[in-house]
Amino acid sequence: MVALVAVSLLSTRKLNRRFGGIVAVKDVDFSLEQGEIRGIIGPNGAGKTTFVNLLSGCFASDSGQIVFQGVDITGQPAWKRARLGIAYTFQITSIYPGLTVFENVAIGAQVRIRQSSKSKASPDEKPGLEEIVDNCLRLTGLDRSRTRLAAELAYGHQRLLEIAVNLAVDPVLLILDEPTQGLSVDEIEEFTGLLKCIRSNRTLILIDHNLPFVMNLADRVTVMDQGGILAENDPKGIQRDVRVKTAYLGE
Amino acid sequence: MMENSGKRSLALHIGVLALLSLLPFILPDYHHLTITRIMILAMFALGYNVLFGYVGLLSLGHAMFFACGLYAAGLPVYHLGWEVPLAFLFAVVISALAAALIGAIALRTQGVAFMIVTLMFSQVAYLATLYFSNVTGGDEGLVLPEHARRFEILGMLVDLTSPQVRYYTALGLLSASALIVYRWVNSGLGREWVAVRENESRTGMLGYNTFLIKLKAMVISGTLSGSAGAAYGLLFAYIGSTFASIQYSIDALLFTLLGGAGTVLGPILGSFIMFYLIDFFSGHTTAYLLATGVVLILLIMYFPLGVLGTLRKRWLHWLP
Amino acid sequence: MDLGPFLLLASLEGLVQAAVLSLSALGLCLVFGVLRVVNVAHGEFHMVGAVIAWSVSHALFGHPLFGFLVALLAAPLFVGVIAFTADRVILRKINHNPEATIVATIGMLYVIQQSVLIGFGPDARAMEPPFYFHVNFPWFGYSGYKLSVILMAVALLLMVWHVISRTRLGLLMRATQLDREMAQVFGIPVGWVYGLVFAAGAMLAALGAVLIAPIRQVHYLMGLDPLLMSFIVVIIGGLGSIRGTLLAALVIGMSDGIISMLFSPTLAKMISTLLVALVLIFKPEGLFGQHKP
Ligand SMILES: Nc1ncnc2c1ncn2[C@@H]1O[C@H](COP(=O)(O)OP(=O)(O)OP(=O)(O)O)[C@@H](O)[C@H]1O
Ligand SMILES: [Mg+2]
Repeated sequence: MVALVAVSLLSTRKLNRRFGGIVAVKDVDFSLEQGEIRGIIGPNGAGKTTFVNLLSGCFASDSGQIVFQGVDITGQPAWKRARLGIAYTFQITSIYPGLTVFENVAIGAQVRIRQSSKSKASPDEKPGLEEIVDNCLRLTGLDRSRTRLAAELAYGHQRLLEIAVNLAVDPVLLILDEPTQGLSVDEIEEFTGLLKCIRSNRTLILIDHNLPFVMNLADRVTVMDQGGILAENDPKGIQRDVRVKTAYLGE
Repeated sequence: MMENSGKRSLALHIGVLALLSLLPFILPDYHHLTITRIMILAMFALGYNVLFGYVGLLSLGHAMFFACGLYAAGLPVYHLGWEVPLAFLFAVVISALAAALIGAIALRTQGVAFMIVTLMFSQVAYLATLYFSNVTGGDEGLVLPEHARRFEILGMLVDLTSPQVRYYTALGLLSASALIVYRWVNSGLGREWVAVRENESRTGMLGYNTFLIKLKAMVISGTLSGSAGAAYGLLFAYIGSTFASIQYSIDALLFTLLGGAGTVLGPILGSFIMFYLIDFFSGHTTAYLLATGVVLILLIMYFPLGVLGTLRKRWLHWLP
Repeated sequence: MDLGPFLLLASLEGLVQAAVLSLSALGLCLVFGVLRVVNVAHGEFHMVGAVIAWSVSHALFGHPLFGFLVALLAAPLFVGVIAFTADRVILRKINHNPEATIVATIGMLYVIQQSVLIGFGPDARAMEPPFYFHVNFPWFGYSGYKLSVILMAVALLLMVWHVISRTRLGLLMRATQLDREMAQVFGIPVGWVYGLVFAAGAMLAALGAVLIAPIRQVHYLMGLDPLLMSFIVVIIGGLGSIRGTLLAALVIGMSDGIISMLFSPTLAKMISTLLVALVLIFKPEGLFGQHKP
């Protein structure tokens, strides 16, 4: 493929967010290219979650600018950003515990159907919905739990379910906040396979404390510390970076 | 599997309504009037349940929508001599507008604040019916004039003084509302409602405009409640301030909780149980209010899913 | 009457109202602050307090002051026990879930109110004031008892302030209010603190009722007004803020007295309820409360 100029999918300028006295995100300039997997790492409290929450619209930024696919989305509410194609899985799993696995994913799929048929929806809306749901369930390996209540799933499966719900929306950019937290070694391996499989037509941001996992998947890695960006490079470069070592890997 | 349970539940709902249409032949006359009232109040609770049961918003002020429909139908009939069908339609529209207005303001709050705000708005509406008593008749209310007791629709003469006519009008309205709600609940709309109830922030992050979803539900809920109010006023030819009082908001909540919030038939069942429970303990207001209190406490402590909610959880998973 | 004396009279009436209001609003505010729940049965605790006061003073012979003093102890004690039991039996069962608590306390409201109706009857009854004397201003005479209500309320408020800021119970309360989980970790019996605070809130309402009973009529429906007024005060004062609540009680108690002299009480209630609902929607931190951290 011939890339003319690397057009960034998403970029931020001088993004800031405070919580009372704490500056959680400080003057962050960030840029993400179409199709890449970006890792974001950094010590606890570095501001990773807050930063991606600013991207998804969960929190409003105090100052700065966010541009997504050439559109300034800084002031837009979360649901509008989601419609533009930004999806986010929470650090603390957020699903619909009282509904079945099928219904969980159907809620995601319904947004996609609504959007794809901006005009009057086709009368055979139902098969479209079930098809999307079944695809997402198969992809995440949850197809056997289709009729179970989400609350009854094991923790790891709940995390997968949240990803399945987000995949059903068919996002352009999928932000995963510590997806491997609480997963077993085997589960992480399977999960790596899943991400390799879904990356073909999306851009991913991956926040995680499991460094081998991030280094293995990411094309580039951004290191955050104390609300700012400390370094940004390919995984090899990051592993060699002295500043990163002292701030984070060295501990 | 889905198909099958869908048919089964539709059959159940239609069966219940069919049973109601047979009751007048089975039960002695004394019950007809009672059941007519129950059915209208059940329609009110049905509307309440859209908001409380499906969207998870606990309003303490639905009496204002009931009363809004009641007055919007009754006042033009009393003061301007409108025909009954026109007044009813007018009340439906006014209730929808009122619900949209109240919703747009009150839905900025959540949880407890929403409960208190709806309670206060409703109290303001109640006080307004008292304050403007030269128009509304205040506490004593107004008895609708003779011309409002019969009207012609589609070439048919409808005589509202006949208990049978009242019964089947109420049943018709209840059935229509129940089937509409049933249809919506089982569509994409119902899915949005439940999504907001179960996890609002997740729903927003998936691209749903949750405020709009809640507002639409509020309008639907308020319109159904208002239509019930209009029907009550027109069928029984009486409008008064009591229908705007807190008591009626609590009743809607009570019927819904008792029958099972978030089930289509729950509010209907709840209205019947509560009415006959009270009837059983003699019809004094004291007994009624005391029972309301006791039942509310017991429900919330031991039985928060209500009759049908519990049945659904245990056995009938397919119940909508 | 001239404007000056008229305003003095209105302010005195307003002060009496504010004094009693601040007691019951403080009760509601404490419960909301610590338990994070709204007690809709608060007004009924007030009403029961007044009914107890009337019954005690009616049953005891001798000087009315004696009956009044006994009532001042008996009413809050009785109401406190009911409230404590209700909290331990009902509210604990539903985990003090805010929405379920509202439903449960609505239930309690009906149960208490209707039980009193059955036991006490539907009539309004007057309670004899503990003493009669008139304070003579140059323009009008004024009931000495009403003046003493203001003083007693201030004394009671000082006592509450002392308990909250200077005693161990107050410390436990404040710790629980700040962080329930943390308090539990440090071994504070949170369940008991909840029960005690719920009872204390009800007792404050009852105390206010004993003070007001000799001025107003005692009636089984008298709980509604203090409930709504306390709501208004607590919301305007910034939910859970004690200082804001007291300030709001003063302002609202005073202005309510004056406003209802000028307008129809129904209209006044209508407008004030509407305004307060709007405050709750657009300025939930209240008018006098500090911003939430
Ligand atoms: N809602 C909030 N209110 C107040 N402070 C917050 C809030 N969210 C985050 N913070 C503070 O902002 C800073 C950054 O937090 P953030 O959660 O973004 O870090 P993180 O890099 O995601 O950490 P972790 O690796 O532990 O998830 C921390 O000091 C945190 O205490
Ligand atoms: Mg984080």
